[in-house]
Parts: sequence; C-alpha cells; structure tokens
Amino acid sequence: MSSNSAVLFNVAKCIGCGSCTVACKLWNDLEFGENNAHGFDAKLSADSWTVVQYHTIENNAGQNVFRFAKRQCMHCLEPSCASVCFANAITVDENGAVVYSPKKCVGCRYCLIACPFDVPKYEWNKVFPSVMKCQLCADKLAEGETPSCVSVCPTGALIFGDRDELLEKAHAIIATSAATENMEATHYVNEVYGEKQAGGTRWLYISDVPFAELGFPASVPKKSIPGIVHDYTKWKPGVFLGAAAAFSAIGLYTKRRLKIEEEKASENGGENNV
Amino acid sequence: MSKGNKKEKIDPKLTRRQFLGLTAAAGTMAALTGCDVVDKVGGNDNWLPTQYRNSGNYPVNAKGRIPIDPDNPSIMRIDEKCILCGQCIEVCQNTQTIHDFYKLPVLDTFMCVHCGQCSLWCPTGAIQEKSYIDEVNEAINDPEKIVVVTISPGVRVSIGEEFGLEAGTWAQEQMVSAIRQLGVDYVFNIDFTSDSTIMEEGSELVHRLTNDGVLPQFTSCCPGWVKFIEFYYPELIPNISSTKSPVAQMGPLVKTYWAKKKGIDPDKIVVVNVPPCLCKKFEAKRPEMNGAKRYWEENEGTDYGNMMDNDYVLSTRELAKMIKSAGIDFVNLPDGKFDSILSEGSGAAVIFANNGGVMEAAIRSAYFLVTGEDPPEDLYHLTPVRDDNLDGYAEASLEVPGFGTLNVAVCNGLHAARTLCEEIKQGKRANLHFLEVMTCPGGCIGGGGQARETVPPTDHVRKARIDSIYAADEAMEKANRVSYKNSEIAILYKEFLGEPLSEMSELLLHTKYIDRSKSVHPKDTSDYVDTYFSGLE
Amino acid sequence: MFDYTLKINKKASFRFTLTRWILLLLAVFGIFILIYRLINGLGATTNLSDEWPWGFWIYMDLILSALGACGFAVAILTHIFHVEKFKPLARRALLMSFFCYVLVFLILFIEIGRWDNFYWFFISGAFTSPLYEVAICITLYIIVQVFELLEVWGDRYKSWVKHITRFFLPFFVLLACIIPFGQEAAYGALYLAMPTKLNVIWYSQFLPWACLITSFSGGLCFVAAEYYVHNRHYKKTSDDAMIRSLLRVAGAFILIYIVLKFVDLSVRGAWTEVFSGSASGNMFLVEFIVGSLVPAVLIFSPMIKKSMYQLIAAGCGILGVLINRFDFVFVGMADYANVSYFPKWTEIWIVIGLTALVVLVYLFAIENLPVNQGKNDEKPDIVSRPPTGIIHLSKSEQNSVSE
Repeated sequence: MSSNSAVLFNVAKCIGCGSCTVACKLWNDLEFGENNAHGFDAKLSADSWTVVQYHTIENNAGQNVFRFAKRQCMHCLEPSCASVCFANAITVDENGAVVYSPKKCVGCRYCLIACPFDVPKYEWNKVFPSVMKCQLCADKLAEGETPSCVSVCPTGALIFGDRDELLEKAHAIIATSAATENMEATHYVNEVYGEKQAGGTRWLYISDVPFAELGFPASVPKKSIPGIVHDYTKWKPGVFLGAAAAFSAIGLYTKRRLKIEEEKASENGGENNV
Repeated sequence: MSKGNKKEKIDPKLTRRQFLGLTAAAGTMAALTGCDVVDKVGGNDNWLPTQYRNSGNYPVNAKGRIPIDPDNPSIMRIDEKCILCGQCIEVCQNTQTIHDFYKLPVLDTFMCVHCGQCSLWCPTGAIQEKSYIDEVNEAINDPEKIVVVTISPGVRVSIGEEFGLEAGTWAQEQMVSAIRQLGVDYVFNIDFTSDSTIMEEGSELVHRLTNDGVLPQFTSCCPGWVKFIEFYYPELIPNISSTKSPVAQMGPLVKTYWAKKKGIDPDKIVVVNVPPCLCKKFEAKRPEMNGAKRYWEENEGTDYGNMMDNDYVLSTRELAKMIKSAGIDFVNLPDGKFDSILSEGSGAAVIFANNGGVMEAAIRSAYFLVTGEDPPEDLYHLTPVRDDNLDGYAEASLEVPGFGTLNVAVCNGLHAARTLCEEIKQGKRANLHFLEVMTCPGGCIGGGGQARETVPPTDHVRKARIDSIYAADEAMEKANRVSYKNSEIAILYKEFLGEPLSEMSELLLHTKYIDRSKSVHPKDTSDYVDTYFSGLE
Repeated sequence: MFDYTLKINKKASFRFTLTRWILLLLAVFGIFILIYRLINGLGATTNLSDEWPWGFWIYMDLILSALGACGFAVAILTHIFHVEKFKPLARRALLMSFFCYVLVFLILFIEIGRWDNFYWFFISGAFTSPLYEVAICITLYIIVQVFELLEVWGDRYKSWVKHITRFFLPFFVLLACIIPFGQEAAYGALYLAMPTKLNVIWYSQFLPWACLITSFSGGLCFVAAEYYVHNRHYKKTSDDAMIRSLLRVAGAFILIYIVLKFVDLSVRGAWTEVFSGSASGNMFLVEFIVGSLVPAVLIFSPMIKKSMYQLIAAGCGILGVLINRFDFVFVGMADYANVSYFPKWTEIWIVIGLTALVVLVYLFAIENLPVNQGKNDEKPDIVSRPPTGIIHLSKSEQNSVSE
C-alpha cells in the first residue's frame, strides 16, 4: 500500500446516510451515546471520531439545498498535534496516518488546543483519559485495506488512494465542471480543501458550495504549524549558547573589575567599602 | 446422599464469587504491571461486515445504507443497531427504485416515499417506524379528549402474527376488543371510507371515460405511490385520481359529519388511524390534509387553528405493542364490534388490502355506474388481477355494455410502477384506462407497518394474508360485496355529501398534489421500458 | 491561644501563629481535593472542556513561572554582572523562585490527565514541542536550584556540604542563568501553535520574546514587593536605595518591552484591533497601561524615591505580567472557543491549598535558612510577639513543654 495514502471526499456526492460514522464506531468499538454522529448539530467528540454535519446552503440556482460535510482528523502531512505533543504520543505511521499511543500520553491536552481543525477530543470523564481522534484505521491500512468509512460509502463520495493521484483527480473534476456550460450541472469550487491547508492534509475535499459555509475553518494558514513554531525554536540553541558564552565572558570581566576595584580600595587604605 | 451431591457440585468448579475475586485480582495485577493496556484508543472489538474487509479498492455491491431524514415522519433509525448490512439499500434501490435513482448532488430532500419496506428488511431492527404510542396514550388518558381509532383492512390479517397466530390469521374481532380495552372511545372501520373511495374514484373514472379526461386514471390510495409520482413523474400528476385515500377520508368525516351528528366539539376529537402503512404517518402531516378545518371555517365560521384531519397514525406493530404493554390476552379476547355509522364495509372494501383489490372493487361499482346494473359474476373474482400479481404486474380487459372494452392494470412495487410510468410517458400504453399501483409488494397486506413475520418479508407470508382477505370477501353475501350497496354510505351521501364529486365531496374527500420535482434530479430511466414485464406484452 | 512555637532542634524552629494555622487548614483542605481530583479525573473536578482544554491551572503555571523568574533575574545581576549591592537579595530571590517552580510543578502534575504516565515526557525527546522545552527546563532548573539551596543549607547546618557545593557553584550558577531562557520564552511559544485561535494582538513571533522580557521585569518587581512585605512583617527597616536601583533595572526591561511591542503591533498592523473596542482590544489597553506605561513612568520619575510609589510601581509591574498572561490564555482565545469558561471551585481550591502549603514551607525556610544577607539582616527573621507556648520535637528537650 502506498505510504502516501489519502482520501478524497466529494461533498457533492454525499447523501448524508451516515454509514461512515457507523462504520467508524463499529471498527473502533466506540460508544454510540445520545448524540447522533450525523445531523445538523453533529459534533466531533471522544466517541465520534467522524461525524457528518448537515448544512442547508443556497446553491448556484438560488435553491436551499442539503449539503453534508464529513469531518474527522485531517491527517496533516506535518501534524501540529504530533509536533506539540511533549511525550511523542502522537506520531505519523508508515502509511501517513497520524496515530496516538495512550501508553505514552501524559494528558497535557496541547494537541486539543493546537489542532487548527479542532479535531482531538478528550475523555473528560475518565480517571485516566485518552485523546480520541480518527486514526485513519491505521490497523486496517496496515493490512492493505481501506479505512472503514471509505469502505462503506454507498455513493463513492469517499475515494481512498495515493495523495498525488487523488489531487490530480480532484483538479480534473474541478476543471471538467468549470468547462461545462450546462447551468444544471454541478460546478465545483476551484479549491481542493486540504491541498495546502496547514501545509497539506491527507484528507482532501472538493465541493460545489463554499467550504466556509460547510463549517471548514477558512483561516488555517497555508504554512504548517510545526513550521511556524520552528521559526521560533530554531533560535533557541543559539540563544542558549550565546547566553552561555556572553554570561561567562561578562561574569569573568565583571569579577575581574570588582577585584581591581577592591584592590584599589585597599591600596587607598579605605575602610569604607560598600 | 445430599453430602455426596454437594461435593460433586462444588469441587470441580469455581463459585461465582471465587471467580469474580480471581478476575479482580488478575485485573489489578495486570493494571499495575501495565499488561492490560493495549497501546491504542477505542475498544478492542474491531468488527465490520466481511464485505468491507477487502484488500485494496475492490468494488463491493452490498454497501452502506440509505439516508434517513431526522425529520422523517414515518421511519427512524437507531444507529447503535445498524450493522451496515446493506439490506435497506437492497430494497430501496432494487424493489422501490428510490435510492440511487436521483442524480447527485442532492437537493433539498432526503429521497424517501415512506413505504417503510426498509423497516421490514432491516435484520437488526435498526430502522423502525417513528412511534406515536406516547402521544396516543396521552390522548387516551386525557378525559377531555375523545379518542377515535380507525382500522384499515390490512391490519386484521397481520396483527395476529404479533401474538403467535399463523400468518394471515383473520383477527378483526379480537383486535377491536383489544382496542376497546385500551380505553379508546370509538373504533371505526376504514372499510367504510374504502367504500366512499370507490364511490368517488369510480365516479371520477366514469367521468374521465365519458368526458375525454386524462387517462389512464391512477389510483391514489397509496400515498407512497403518490409521492413517487410527485417526485419522479410530475407530468403524470393529472393522471392520479384526486380522491383521497380511505384513511385520509376518515379524519375529515369524523370531524365534520360524525362530530355534528354526535354534537361533539371536533377540537376534542383525536383521530388515530391504524393502517398497515408507514407512509400514512407522512400523509397525515401533509399540510393540505385539513379538510375538516376548512369545512368548519367555510360553513360554520369556526376557526380550529392547526387542526389536521388525522391526528396520529399507528402502524400494526405499534398497535400490537400497545396491546402487549397493556397485558391484554389478545388471542382469547371475546369478539368485538365496530361502532356504527362509520364502520359498515362491503366486501369490495375488505379487498382494498390486496394489490388488485382497489381495482376489483372499483370495477364492480364502475360497472354499476356505467350500466346501472349489478356486475356480472366474474367481476366478483377478477382472476387476471388476482393470480400471480405478486410478480409486480397484471392486467385485464373486460367488456362493459354501453362503453366497450375497459383495459385495467394493477402493479405493486415501485420498480414495476417506474417501468409503467416510463411506458406511459412514451405513449406505449395508450389503451390503458385504469391503473392501480401499490408501493408495497403484495399491496397493503405487505405494508411497511405490518408485523415482521419473516425478515425480509417473503411471498409465503404475503400469500397467506392475501388469501385471508379474499376469503373474507367471498364469505360475504353477494349484495354486501359492492360499495354502492353500503347502506351507511348511502345515508352519508343522503344526509351530508349529496352525491359523489359534489362540492362537499371535493372539500372533504378529494385533494391536490404537489409537484416535488424541484427537490430531485431524477436519473434517466427511459430505457426501463419493457424490461420489467417483457413476458407480459 | 493558637500561637505555638514548634522547636525541631537547637537550630530549627517554626512559629505557628493564627494566620499560619489557617494556612495549614487551607493546605490540608487543598490536599484532600487534590487527592479527590487524582482519583476522580478531570471531568469531575474541573470545568475544562474540549473547547477549553487549558484553563485556570495552565494560567497559574504561566504566572507562577513568570514570577519565578525573579531568581534567575537577580542571579544574572549578582552572579554574572556582579552588581554587589543586589547581593543581599540573591538567596532570597533564589528561594522565592524555587518555591514558585515547585508550585508550578505540582500544578502541572495535577493538570495533566494521565498523571500515572507523568514520567514519560522525560524520556520522550519531543524536541519540537514548546511544552517539552518548558517541562525539561523547569525540571533541570529545579535540580539546579536544589543544588544551589544545598549550599545555603550547608552554610548553616552541614559545613562539608557547603564546601562541596561551593566548589561546583559557579557552574551551577551559570546553568541557573541560562536554563530559564528556555522555559520563560517557551511559555509564549506554546501559543505560537494557535495561529487561528489566538487574537492577533498577541499572536506573533514576538510572543515568546515578550514573555521572556516581561518575566524579567515581573520577577524583579516581585522581588521588590516581597522585600517590602517581608520587612514590614518582620518589622525591619528597608534599603530604599537598593530597591530603587532594582526597580530601575526592571523599568529598563519594561521600556524595552514597550518599544518592541509597539514595533510588533505596528509592523503587523494590529493597532486597529487594539482600538476596535473588542474585549481583547480593551484588555490589551488595560494590560499595556497598568502593566507597562504606569510602572515605567513611576520608575523613571522622581516619585520613585518614596517607598510607597516603589511599592505601587512594583505592584503594577507584577499586575502587568498577570494581566498579560490572563489576556493570551483566556481573553485572546475566548472569541475562537465561543464557549464560556469559569474554573470550578475545586480547580481554585486545589491551587489555594497548594499555595498555602508552599507559603508555609517558604516561611519555614526563610526563618531557618541563612538567606538574608543585607546590612539590616543581622537580626534573624522572627515574629516579634512572644508565643503562647513552645512545643519541643527533639528528644532531649521533650519533657520541657511550657504553657
């Protein structure tokens, strides 16, 4: 299996059946709980690693239509959560899935607050809680299978494959739709969400309605967040070494000057030191 | 003796307490040493149906499930029970041609005609009827309210199955007793409105035949079929008879005619229908189903706000559930009788529950309406539309004196209906005069609200119910087997409605249909012509 | 009637006044809740949620760390720049800083969800995480401080310990002056990972360095304020001139911060947000005026000669740091979270209890360790009123318990 795995979600093909949310819960053995994992108020939670959010949006023809946004971990190429985890409990596996290891987790919850897509959730009511988020079915990937949600999608809204190939495919779909003059046909927004967001993600989205209306955070920087933090971290060795060198030099110099002053004072026979 | 026995019993096994103790100790040890922690989140019970466990991107045919609107008035799904077996898609797509018969992206609706077949096919019971039991119980317990329960013909041959009786057992009398024991004030028979349906629909057919109206006329008793046409074939809406379904006729009659006769404030009446159908739950909520309110407004100047004709709709399964919750010994109940003036039904009304029944009933009366004579013997057993109609389609031609050859057809299952619609659209069935369509295989006896005797439903069960219904018709006296001889119907027309298709009938017993084609981009199925019944032409 | 002196041995004793009994009570109460939290988890004891994964405890860590910079700031002045007049403050600042960081560490321990796994980060080597930098630097710094304090302890109780530690001291002092650069700046860097969440007023690459600079000024102001309160409590005269010079150094850092923050806001064009009237903008104005402009004006005006204005300036300096951290932990994040958060009483009382405990230990330490080396400090730190009784803990004096 390609190590560059990715999933393309075509918003225009989703019918909101919620099969993916059930498959996720079946495979990962998650509680179903009171809140549906699909619906108008569906939200990611510790028990719902993927949700299908229902939206009513005005389409090109001015008609209010249903659109469904499947949300889950975006599996960034350079994941913020993994880079800020101070126990290395979140890592990127050989298939590109961003996976979490509860054995290593200390529970600082930095990943929750550092994720630009607000994906990781916490088991607040447990004594020793874990961070809960989509693992891209890493165990299924390892056996050469597709992620659970992709495998059950009845309409082909989810496609699993190589990231570069999927990107090519996505752009081809967008280009074809842009070229068609039929007003009735689906016209895709000229953007693949996830191609550049946060430095690129393994979940890619194409849609015929603006992503912001589907609840996707619009202001996520194109630069990866580990990259942004690195802009600061890169100065650190220099600061430490520079401070060590400077302090040593200053310390030696001021000590010597102090000694000379003391000597001068004693030469003058003055008793009136500070 | 006892000593030896005891020793044998205890020694080789651990007691439950010992076992629990050991388990706890082992658990604690494992927790302390960190052995029990699997280094992953989520549970350890990783399972998906095998079809989803293929390597790579191989195609899978049975995949996923149908979408269900959270606001769907008929069905709901409990996610926790769903195993993604694909059965709902199987029936929705292949039997009913709803799922996957529209182009993506979706528009402003979750495609559904509320037939409820998925709730019969779902092996785990994840898809269920949306239950109104609580609301009905509340109304029963409210001394202010007068609860009127109306029972459709199909229910009486299926409800017995819920109590261990053989499939198709006729259980009308026990059912009526049971409903009375629930504390319901009046029990009426939908057979009555079935007969009024025949009067209206038959008259409408005759009117169309004699006035060059749009033909073929489609029956309108099945709300699922009606919604199917509204979605996929809006150009055929004029073909649908404007007559309301029998269930939809009962509410307005109860809240006008009966209420006036009894001197009851219609606002206090709670009409609870028990059809074998889940789509009736949807039909009752159609905004135009408020004829009684309009009647009071126009004729008496009384405003009853949001009063709808029918208040709640319970399926056969829900009624059985209520009877079971009340602890009623259904099988051994004494015979109960319907309350009078809205309950007399002809044999023609009883067979409404079978696919082909509406047609047969309509023909019997239409024959009378055209010729003024009682129909000939073979119209009391319209063989062509009875035999093998579980295949989905049957047709018959009959000679009517004074008119000529009348071509009629019956079909069930929307796959067959879709094929027929395509053919009609393409002008291939110009000779057809009257078409009965039932959404559910076998007609109402196979309705989505019926008992889950087998999962998925089988023709064996459907056949048993069909036979039971026809037997009930045959068992009646000949004079009672035609709608126009229903004495209560005659009184209704004399006292209240005037005559079929009168202004009052139009207000209470007829309706309008909505073009829903803006909500769906249908897939092109024009090549469906001749595919379904190639052997029948 | 609650006023007892606890005699541990000939050199060490601790006086329990009414206030200290109350502190003890609070500490015991806090520890009970702490145990309750460890047993029942975060959901039962905090109002934290997926929208507010970080709350009051993280804020306490941030401000205690900023105030804890006092040890490191004074150490640089006395041990690196060899400013002799600040020498009397060195050990006391070290002690204050040590207890701040101990408190930070304790709160971090209750703050993490899987405290059974707390050791893991030591071996994780997660060098990309600012939080890792914080944790490692604090750990190292506390170890270094323990070593430095051993020297202080040996000074009075075990002379061979003093001799050994003095030999290695220069090396440790150098470490103590460098390591805190890590955590103080990294606290700001924590929030660099939230470009879409933190308000534009605070979010910039300057944030870590702003934290570093304000921790200098805040720490020095904290030393000045403590010096004041301390001398009042033990009825000793203060060296106003020394504090004035100390505040001048703090003022210099405040000036640097003002200039850099001004440049930062101007370069990024964030002034519109400052004056937009939003909660964030207004809070920034409060922070900037109260915490930076007022102390800067006070310190560099003649008023600073009066001890009262010194106290006000130091107080404003501290307040500035507190508000600044409050702003980017809560105010700047609130718009994004879109859900309100107020700490649960258990969250607050654990912190109060732990603080009470640490204050008690601090008082014990300051009364029994040779940390005061100023010219007014020949007199030991003793509560001047006579106690109602003395309790002897050492065996030789056990029989003589007086009323």
